[in-house]
Amino acid sequence: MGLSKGERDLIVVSTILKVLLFPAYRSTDFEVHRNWLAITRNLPLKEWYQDTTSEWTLDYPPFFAYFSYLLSIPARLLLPHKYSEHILRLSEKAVEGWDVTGYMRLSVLISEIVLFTAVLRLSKSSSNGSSTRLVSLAIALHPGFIILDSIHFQYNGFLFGIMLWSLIGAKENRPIVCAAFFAALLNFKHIYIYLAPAWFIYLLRQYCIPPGTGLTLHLKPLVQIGSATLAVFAVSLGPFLYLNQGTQLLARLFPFTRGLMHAYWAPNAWASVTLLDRILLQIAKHPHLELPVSSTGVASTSRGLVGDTYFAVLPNITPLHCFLLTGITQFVQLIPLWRQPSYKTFLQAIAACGFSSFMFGWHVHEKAVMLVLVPLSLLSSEDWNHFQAFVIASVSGLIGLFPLLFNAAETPVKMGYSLIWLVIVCTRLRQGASKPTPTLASHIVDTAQNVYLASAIPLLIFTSILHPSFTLSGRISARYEFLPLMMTSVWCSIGLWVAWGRLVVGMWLDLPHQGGLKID
Amino acid sequence: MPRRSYAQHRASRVRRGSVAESETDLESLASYTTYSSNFTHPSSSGIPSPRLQHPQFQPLHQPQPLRLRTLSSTSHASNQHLEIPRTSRDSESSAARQARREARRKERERKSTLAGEKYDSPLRRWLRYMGSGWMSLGLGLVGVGVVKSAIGSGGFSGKDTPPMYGDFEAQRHWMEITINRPIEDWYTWRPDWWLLDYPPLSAYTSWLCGKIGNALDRSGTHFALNTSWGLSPPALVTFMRMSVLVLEVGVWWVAVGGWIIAEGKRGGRSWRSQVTGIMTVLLMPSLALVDNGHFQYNSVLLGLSLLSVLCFASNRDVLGCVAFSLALCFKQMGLYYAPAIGCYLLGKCIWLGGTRGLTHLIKLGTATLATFVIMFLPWLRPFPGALLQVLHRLFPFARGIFEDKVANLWCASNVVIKWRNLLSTPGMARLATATTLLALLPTVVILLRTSYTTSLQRSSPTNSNGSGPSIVEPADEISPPPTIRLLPTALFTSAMAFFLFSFQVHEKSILLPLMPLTIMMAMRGGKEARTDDDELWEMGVLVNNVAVFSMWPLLKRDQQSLQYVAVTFLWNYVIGYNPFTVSSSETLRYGSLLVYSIIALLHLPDILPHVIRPPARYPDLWVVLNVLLSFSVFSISYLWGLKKLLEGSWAIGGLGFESASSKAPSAGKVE
Repeated sequence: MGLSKGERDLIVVSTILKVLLFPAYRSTDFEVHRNWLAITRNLPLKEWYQDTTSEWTLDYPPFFAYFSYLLSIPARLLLPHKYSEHILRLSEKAVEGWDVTGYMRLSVLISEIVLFTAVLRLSKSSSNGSSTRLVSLAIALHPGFIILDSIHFQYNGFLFGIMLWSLIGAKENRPIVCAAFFAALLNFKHIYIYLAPAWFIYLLRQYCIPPGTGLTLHLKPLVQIGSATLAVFAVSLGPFLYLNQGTQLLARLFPFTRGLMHAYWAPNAWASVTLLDRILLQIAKHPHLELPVSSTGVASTSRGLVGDTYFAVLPNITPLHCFLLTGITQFVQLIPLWRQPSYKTFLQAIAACGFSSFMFGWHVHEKAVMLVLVPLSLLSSEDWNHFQAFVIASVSGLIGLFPLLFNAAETPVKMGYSLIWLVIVCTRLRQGASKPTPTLASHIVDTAQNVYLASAIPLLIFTSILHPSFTLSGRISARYEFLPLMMTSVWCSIGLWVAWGRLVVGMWLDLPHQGGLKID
Repeated sequence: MPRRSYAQHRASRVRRGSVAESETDLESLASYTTYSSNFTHPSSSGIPSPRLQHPQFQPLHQPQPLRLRTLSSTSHASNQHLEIPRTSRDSESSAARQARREARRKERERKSTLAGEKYDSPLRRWLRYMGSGWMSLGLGLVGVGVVKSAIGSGGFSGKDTPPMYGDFEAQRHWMEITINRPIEDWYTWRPDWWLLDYPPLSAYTSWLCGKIGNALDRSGTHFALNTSWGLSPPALVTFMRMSVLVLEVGVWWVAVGGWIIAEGKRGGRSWRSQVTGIMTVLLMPSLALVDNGHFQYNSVLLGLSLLSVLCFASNRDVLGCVAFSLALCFKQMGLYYAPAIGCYLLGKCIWLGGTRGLTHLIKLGTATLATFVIMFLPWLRPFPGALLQVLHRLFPFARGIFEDKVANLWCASNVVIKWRNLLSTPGMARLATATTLLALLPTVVILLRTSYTTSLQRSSPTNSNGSGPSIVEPADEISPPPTIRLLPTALFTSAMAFFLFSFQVHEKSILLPLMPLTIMMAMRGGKEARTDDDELWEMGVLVNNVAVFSMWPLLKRDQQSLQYVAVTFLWNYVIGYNPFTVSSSETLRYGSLLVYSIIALLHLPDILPHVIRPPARYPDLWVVLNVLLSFSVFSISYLWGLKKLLEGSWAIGGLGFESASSKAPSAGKVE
């Protein structure tokens, strides 16, 4: 494989770091994924989505279940019975031990090969090599993956690797590969359905109804792409439909019982709304005002850390609101892609769909920010505007991920690693991006962005040093435990708004120049 | 070679790219900037910089545009532009000169840290990519911090192992004692638990850490007197880990940075080489595993010792004495360095000679004594009872010759000679002390003798033919004596002598000889390279690796197997070490390979514990074999260190008057 020395260095060093992080903090997701190994190993196919032995039931689509099954095989074949039995034990209680940790962590490390191969392929598939190489390596070594996969525990690197393979298909003009990989990705984790409109429009417009030919439908590509997609779905869902597990599967995949905000405030639109509600609540408490206040909402304020959030003053948000907002914004943002399907507009559309779903989605987890950061990274070397959008989104997205690792022990790792990554990637990209002649508006926006980015330092000092020390030493009451989370969320959501704005404005500004061009 | 004007010389150097250091390299990971920045920042790198365009530096014959140098400074493409400007003078043998020049260029390229294949390493590749700014060092340091905190997520000494736990509990308990008990109780409190057995500075540090830790602990349990024994909740562990890291950054990192940068400047090394050196030392696996993994504060001791050497090297002897006294007051293990440092300072007084030497000696003695008095002040009354009590804690001769298996003479020879059956503990202590003194003798003699002979050279005007700056009289005020060049090696041999032969040695004490060895090896290659540069580097890596291996039983007990493998591999990888390409000597290459093969073999039982079992009669067989191997390598390195010391002394003319006079002209050249 054509690895340059530098690429080999990066891969080796990052792997060693990940190995060193094996014993680090891990979230309940660790036990969730281990339990899935146990379920798929110990139960017949038709009980996979039925089992409730552990509270961490299987709620990812079938491909991930198959993947879990695949991961359980080496344990059975290679490890002594004592260990394999322990690792794959189906039990109500969490199973712990260095063997479990080592095995699961190692599985993440190995699954990331998908990401690394995709990245290497991507870096070599482009004409303007160096910037693509930089961007691809930046994605492979993204701090988000270190935080989410190597510490928190998930398989995002693997999943985004599949997504990149689909993008490679698009870039290399192989629609069937593109469609099949994306269909597979959907069947690994259904959160990527938020990005599906972009794929749909792109494949449709690029191959089936190419622009400039009226609305004539090219049947052959349609059949090819459609059958590839359907075949993937058939492999994934077929066995479960055959076993009459369809409704159970659906109920597991789409539980509408969770609240608007996950665990803590994801840095999205609802974070700003929640802040507004909290402020209004303080005003409403004033005796002279007789504002209607919801009691569940008031109770919800004091927690802030765990559980669902309800609004005290503002009307509560329902899933329908979220879906309408997400759907409308996505629809609007897909127009440029429809008018001018190209790899670049495709990436823009993916990032825009990611933004819509992240900012307005129902029950969004902060981890979902990767849906935005990865496509934005791919766009970062396009021009100055995209570079700036990438910088601000990466900084605020990563800081938004920090509270996920709430122990002080991981603070130097998450911050140090993110700092190194951000500084190297941003300075290098900046050297490559040519800054256009500033207009007054762009100058103001760029300056405001720099001020915003600089304010990350006091924010981090407060949330990770001052506030914890004061709380620990009892100078700040524990009642304000939610304060750093709230500040982080609100601060990060501002950055993401700006990035989104830059992206959308860029998309629309790009259009008129190329409006006359017909790209087939 | 005919003389040329400086402008000519400079011009030819410009063409070869050796004036301004080129930091770019096509091999670098995503060499983005070199090309594109030329277009976006027309003023930065594409066009020859104003400095080089200065008329004084203009070559006689305008060479190729300098941009070519930037693009391919290391590749052979640039060779084509090395055409020598033909001037009328060199008609006689231009071909011969061309060949000679070509040979020199090849030699220079081979030795260059930028282009030399041998010096290529991930660290250097990364630094080439990063460029020459402070950012490379800054991000490198952040990276080291990340690695060290990642090590901290693993196990530590005594984790979940009641009843006594381990070093982590000891350090925590000392914080508990110092913040809760009056100062006179510190060394006597609760003999049934971990008694404080480090000198006062350690105790003061514990007090400070305890105060901060207690303020940060809302539960108030972490350092509660008598009720907190054996506690290790995650928050406490994090706090303790951070305290190690902060102290390490504050003392050890500063010392290493100061030393490498000072040495680098003195030797005219590039910034890249300096940063490589700093990173090499800071990532040293043994220290990272003991301090950030096992849990101790050795970096403070090593940092203070290195700071003192740094002070000596910049002729601030009094400050150096204070720093070294502080090191001794932090951990008594600093005594391993004391013979070398003491002899250096005594030698300096001899070298200064006469009244000046005597005043200097008095100054140094006063500074040392004052530091000790201040540090031990609370225990001076009642005199000398309290002081003796402390000293008894610090030097527990009542314990056996060794506790765990350690790679020194006594433990290694214990295989054949059962020392404990032969001699009583005091007898053993006397034997060990005598042997140690004997082993220290060469170091002491060489240092003092060199000081004496160089002082003679200095004072006798016939010999001062102006070759070395140290021979000129007024230089005394600003430059240290020539023996300063021997000091790191002397520190190594002195500490190694203690480690190998003294009484009551811990396996962790190998860090003391390792420190001077590692700072010596850290800077390598380049035009200024000494002839034994590679040997030093390769020996340094070997001893470092064996040292980590010698601590394997300890690290395994601390649940640090993973960290042991990862950190050792990381260090060897980033510094670009490959035992198969050891180049300084055949013996060293085959020796290293042999050692590594044995290490690999000895790890087989760890990988397959159920398949390969030690014979029932010798349950400790693997550990004993480990000790034997490590002891052999350490003793060889000790002898090798003595050889280096002799060579160094000979080179500065310190071995004898006659040889010195013949060798004196080379004094300036060697260092």
